[in-house]
Amino acid sequence: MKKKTKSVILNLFSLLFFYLLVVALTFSGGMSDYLSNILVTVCITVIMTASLNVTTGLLGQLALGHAGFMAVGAYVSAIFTRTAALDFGLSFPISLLLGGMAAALFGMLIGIPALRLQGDYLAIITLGFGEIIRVIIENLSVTGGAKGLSGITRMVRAFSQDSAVSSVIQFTFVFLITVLIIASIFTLGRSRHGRAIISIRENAIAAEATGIPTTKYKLLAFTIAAFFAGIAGGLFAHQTSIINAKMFGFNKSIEYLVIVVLGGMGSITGSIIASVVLISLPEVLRAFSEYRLVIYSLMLILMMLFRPSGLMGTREFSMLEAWEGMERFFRRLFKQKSSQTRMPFQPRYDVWEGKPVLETFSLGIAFGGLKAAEKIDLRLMDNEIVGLIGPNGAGKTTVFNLLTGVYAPTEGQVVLLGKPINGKMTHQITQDGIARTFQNIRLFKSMTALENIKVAFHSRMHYSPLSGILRNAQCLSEERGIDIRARELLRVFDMEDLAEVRAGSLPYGKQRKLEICRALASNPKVLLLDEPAAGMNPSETVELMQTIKTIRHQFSVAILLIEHDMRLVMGICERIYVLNYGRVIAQGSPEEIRSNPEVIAAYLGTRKAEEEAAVHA
Amino acid sequence: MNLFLNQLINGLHVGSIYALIALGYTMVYGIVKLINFAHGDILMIGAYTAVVTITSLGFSAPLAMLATVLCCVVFGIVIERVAYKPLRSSPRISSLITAIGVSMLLQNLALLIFGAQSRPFPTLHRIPPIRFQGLQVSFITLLTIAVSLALMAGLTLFVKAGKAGKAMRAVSEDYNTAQLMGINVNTTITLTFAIGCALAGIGSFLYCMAYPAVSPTMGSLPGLKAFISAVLGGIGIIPGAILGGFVMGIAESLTKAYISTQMSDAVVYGILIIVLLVKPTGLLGRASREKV
Amino acid sequence: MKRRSLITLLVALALILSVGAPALAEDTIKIGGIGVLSGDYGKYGIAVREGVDLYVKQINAAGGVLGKPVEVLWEDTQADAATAISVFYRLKGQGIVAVIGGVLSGESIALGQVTFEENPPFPQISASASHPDVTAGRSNVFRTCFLDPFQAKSIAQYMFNEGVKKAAVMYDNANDYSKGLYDNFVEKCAELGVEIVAEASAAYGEKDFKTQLTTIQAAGPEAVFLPYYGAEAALILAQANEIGLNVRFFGADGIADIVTAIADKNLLTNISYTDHFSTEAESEMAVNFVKAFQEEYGRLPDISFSATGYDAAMVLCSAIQAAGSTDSDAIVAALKATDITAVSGKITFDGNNNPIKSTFLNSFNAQGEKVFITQVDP
Repeated sequence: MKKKTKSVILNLFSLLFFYLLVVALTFSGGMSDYLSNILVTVCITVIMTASLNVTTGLLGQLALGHAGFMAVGAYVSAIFTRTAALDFGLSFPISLLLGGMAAALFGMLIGIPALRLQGDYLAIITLGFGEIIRVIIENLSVTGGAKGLSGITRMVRAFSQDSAVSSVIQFTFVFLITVLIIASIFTLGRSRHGRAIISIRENAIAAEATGIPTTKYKLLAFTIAAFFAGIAGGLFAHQTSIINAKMFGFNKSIEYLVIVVLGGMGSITGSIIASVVLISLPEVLRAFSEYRLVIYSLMLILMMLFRPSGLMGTREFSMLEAWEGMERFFRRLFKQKSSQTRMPFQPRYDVWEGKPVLETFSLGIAFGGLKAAEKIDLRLMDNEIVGLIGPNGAGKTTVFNLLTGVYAPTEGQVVLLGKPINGKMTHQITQDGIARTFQNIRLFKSMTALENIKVAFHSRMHYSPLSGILRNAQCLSEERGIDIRARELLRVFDMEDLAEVRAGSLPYGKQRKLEICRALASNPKVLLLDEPAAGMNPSETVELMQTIKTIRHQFSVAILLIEHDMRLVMGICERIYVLNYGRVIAQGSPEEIRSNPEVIAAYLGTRKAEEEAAVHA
Repeated sequence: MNLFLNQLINGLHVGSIYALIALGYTMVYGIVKLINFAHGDILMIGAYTAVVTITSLGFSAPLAMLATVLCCVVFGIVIERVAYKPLRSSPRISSLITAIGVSMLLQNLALLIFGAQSRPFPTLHRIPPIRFQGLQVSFITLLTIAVSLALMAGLTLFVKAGKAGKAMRAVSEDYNTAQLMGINVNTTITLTFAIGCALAGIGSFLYCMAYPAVSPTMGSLPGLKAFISAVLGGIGIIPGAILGGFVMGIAESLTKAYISTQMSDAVVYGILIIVLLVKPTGLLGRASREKV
Repeated sequence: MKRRSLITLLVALALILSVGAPALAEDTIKIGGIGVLSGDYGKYGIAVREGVDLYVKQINAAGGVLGKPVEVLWEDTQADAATAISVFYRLKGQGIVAVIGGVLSGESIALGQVTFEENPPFPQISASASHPDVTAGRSNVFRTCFLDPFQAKSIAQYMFNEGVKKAAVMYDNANDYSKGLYDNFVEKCAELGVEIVAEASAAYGEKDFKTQLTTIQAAGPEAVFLPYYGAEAALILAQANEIGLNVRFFGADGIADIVTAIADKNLLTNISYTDHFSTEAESEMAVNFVKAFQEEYGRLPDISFSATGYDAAMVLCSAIQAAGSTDSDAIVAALKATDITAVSGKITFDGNNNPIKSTFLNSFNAQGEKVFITQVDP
């Protein structure tokens, strides 16, 4: 703790020292126009790359049209300061905000249709939109067409008559905006919203199944990135005094992408360092500029081959601690009372005793002509443990996918706690009370075990992205509550000491457990386990059986599980459904199932079954 | 009416070049699920090879064409082996970024070696356009369309019937299973890149005959449009690339002729976006979903 | 470890800050040369640089300016306005007294804004930026090339004199140079009664002009105006020939470098264009310039910006000599009063600091050599 405080103070002091150094140099004449101009360029680049990192690093979607948003911001802001009859000191900040908002609007407009796509296609479509923005700007008259806009007020001289004073105001303004933007990206990244965005990068399907509205968060990430890029564009326009569409083409987008990749996708500090280095290097090494692009491209390739995570990977500096320390400091300074801890996690105590919690009525789905499941009637009573078995390809996982809304059923109905949930999105169904695990484990691998669980608490916290950025009382109290609850949950599974370990580096058995733990964190009434014992050794399986029994009571959930390990199924299930060729062929108690000839036939083939029947007869 | 037909012929001409390049994109995507951004730059490499062999080394046109194809194939294979192969199991975003890096590298190396100044492509023929009842078709147009159609037919046959073609289809269907079936996956992938680049080489030669200017960035725009053609037809599907190429060429030509020349790029990207939104799998594609 | 990195970063930044300390008093007169020297448009900047360097070499051999040798410090803008501003500040830190540049209109406009905001305004002269906005409202910015409206009107007039009554235009709407020429050309044609039967635009980076040419061909013009740079114009001529559109073509100063971009030189005989200079010009200065240029670089000054670059250096050096000091205000005042005979003709400046001077109409022979047609006086 003491060490942390020390680092906080050091960080703050170095930032302040740097700022004061620049100011002092400017007034003493040691700061040439050349250097102050480069500093502004560095700040603009930092904003651009840090914001691009929100989509490319945190969300994990390659965006190739980021400069397009910068263009929108630049034009809107420039047109505003040119036309508004206001003092520059007033019109300029307003214009930046307007530019940012216009860019955010574009980001959203583009995001809504584009985000239905993923990966390569999304990359290409952002490229397309970036180019369309360019073509449109070039052909409008309000944007000055091909010539672009010139004669935009340059901020370096506009703030004051005295050029040194004006230059200092410019630097203060730009530096402050940059610091604020970086800080808000940091705090947002730490909030429930940031965790939601990162969880999409880690595993989109699991994120949705954990209750994250993925489309909404993709859109949020795009909009935020576009907003900041728009502000950077406004600054740029008032730095150069002339803008035209070609300045914001594909190549510009790629240059920013290179910086992000080199710094490390997902590391905001990485983006900052890479921006500073890559902007200053050509200025310091004149010979470098000729080979600049060759070197950039080589670095890009080598980086991907040998260090795909970039300079910093997804790591960050002690900035976070700096921020938290500053928070504590200010709270103490203003005697703000540390607000109470809110405990958002209350199990569902709905009384459904004796009534089914989950029911399906002739549920089915057809892929083209193939009926993967049909006429499925399941019923799960409160607190019941039910098995779903059947040979490979019988449609068990398909049933899970139908229950959780991953597939939309083509026939039939699903009723949860007495309400139909047909047509709902997966994340809504999760919020309504069905949680699941996956056959092939889908954890958020580069997040810690604790964070994995916190993601699942998402829908039970309520603070907005803005309060996440500001880290106000609501945000802090909810976060504190979540932290306690998440640790409690880990303790139930004897994993508290693994809280800070990356999920991807946990041993296999622990990963399975963590996935169950995460499913429980979304506060389900029904828990679907897809082959929980797969890959476990006998002793681990026994332990798992014990755990399943415990959680059923402790969390008051009904459990439906798919499993091939018959000892487990027969050992803990109260009832069993048997599926074959997409239909329920038998149901009943373990004993009934064990002796059902149809089941034996399904598992062992017909002839063998006939023999067995003959023996019994 | 004649004007319309003439514009249609122009569209077919451009379209057949797009189709040739698009085949390379689509085959590579089909097999390694990678958008090979550098494919357009293979076009540029082919063009410089042709210019250098013809003007400096005095090759005849057919010989220069052979050299162009060879050079493109060599570059394609080297790029695949050095830059893409090690990343086959990495996340898709890594290989995509690498592809962008390779594209940048090729362009900027060409810039250092040959300079930014565009070079003229030598005139190889003096055959006047063929006129027929108000229609006119230039020799290059005829040649381009004929050569591309022949190549496409050959390729389709090769992939459908040939042993190597079957291996290709198997690898694109399921990489691991193909390996288990005794198919040499590495060879097959290399072969795919080689064929794609050979087609790009021929396309490059035809492209330069029609647009006789060779510069380091010449590959980006046709490359991008060819890629869009591939997506339009359904990426990974060979007949799709051919169809997409022709549709793109004609759409572009008719847009320029009857809607707006300034907006033709916007229309091209617009087509891409609409296709991706309405039917992301393209005109001939079929849906597949991620297994949960 | 962690916090050390942030400190290192900031210390590194502080170090970078200390690099560009201003230079001390000099015993040479330093002039900044700013313009695009690389990339697609690099050849124009290089042409200017060759002209400027040639003049500076000559004047230094003759004793320099104000008794001191002149030194030109060149910086490449990479055709980017932001870079133009950055390199200006860098050069200013190195003690330049005036700027020759920029080369393209966009970078020159950005540069003009910065030099104008200096206190006092910093002397700037461009050899090649032909857009009206470059000097508009800027008392300190001059140029030695004629303006786009003037050359567009000259070529329209010449075309009309040649008997053309139906013309077509093909231009690049996404390029301010091309667009500006197009607007003025069409305006002058309307005035002269020349009918524009077809106009088509091609987007930036486009290579396929056949569709537009087919449309133009169908309209049956007697001539086509091509306000393009040489590289695009070469493609257009080749494709026009391919589809059998054999009419006369007219262009502006950007066409001048078409020779290197076209393989079939025969096609060039169809095209005439306006230029800032002709290597066949007969004045004594011009003849001497061509001779000296050939001796220095071993070839003809193919791009006429070498001549205007030479003139820009001459105008600037004469102004410094006349001002008797390197004081910004004095140089600007002396520039304003310029009245000299230079390589591309007599140069005086009008109220907007634009030269009042002649244009040269050129064409080519089948070997791709320039052929001087006529000189048009304002």
